Amino acid sequence: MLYPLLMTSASGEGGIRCLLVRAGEYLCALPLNQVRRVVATLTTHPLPGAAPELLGLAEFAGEALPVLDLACLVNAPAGAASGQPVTVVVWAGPPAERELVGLAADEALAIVELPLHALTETRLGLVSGEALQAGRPVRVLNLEHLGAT
Amino acid sequence: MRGTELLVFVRGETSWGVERAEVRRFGVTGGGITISLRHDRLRADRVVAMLSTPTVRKPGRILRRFWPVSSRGLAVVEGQVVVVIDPLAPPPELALQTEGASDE
Repeated sequence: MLYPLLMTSASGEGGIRCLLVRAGEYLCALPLNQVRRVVATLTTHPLPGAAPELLGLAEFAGEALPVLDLACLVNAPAGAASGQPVTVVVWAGPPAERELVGLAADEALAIVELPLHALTETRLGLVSGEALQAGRPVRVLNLEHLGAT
Repeated sequence: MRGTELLVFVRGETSWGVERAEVRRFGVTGGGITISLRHDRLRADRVVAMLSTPTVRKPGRILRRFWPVSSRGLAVVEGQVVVVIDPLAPPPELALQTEGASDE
């Protein structure tokens, strides 16, 4: 199955409900069933020696939350500065070992339904597929991949 | 990991913790503090607190993927994330590099 987690969140009308966010110049679709919360950018504390994708650790709901730079994860070119950057708290990793992580994005745009038939498989790691939304390419993310080593 | 007293200190922009039982003494270096452990010495910008019984959770797979540094886990203390180090393998960024450190 191409989009195992996405399929479970389909609305029943042949679509996938996703949160659409902007990361640099890219639009990314996060499966809605893996989104726990969208909050104003969390304050992060960097960890020396971390990979560039890891912005640091933040406090969320009394727990330590790793926060990743979504633009860096998808290799997005830098885009326009945003007045409303967000941290999207998502479930990531394999279902049996899922964990919360934060994804720092430039802005949260909308909840959209992407038609399954419009998705193109890419299998580029975190980006599992692409689709067009209002004429713009959208990268559909497979958050299970974040747990891969 | 629960019920362990932690010494919390700041180095750079990060709060770190080490089990109190590992701490032998403190010292002062130029502009910083030396924390002598049983097997190592660390450099701190400042010592924050000694805390009792914080809940320390092991780092998840995703954090370890992007920060492959050995640690005992993570704690949140008064809204602040504290990285609890492995005293036998502290992050190199905490290493004491200044000459002339003197214990007090």
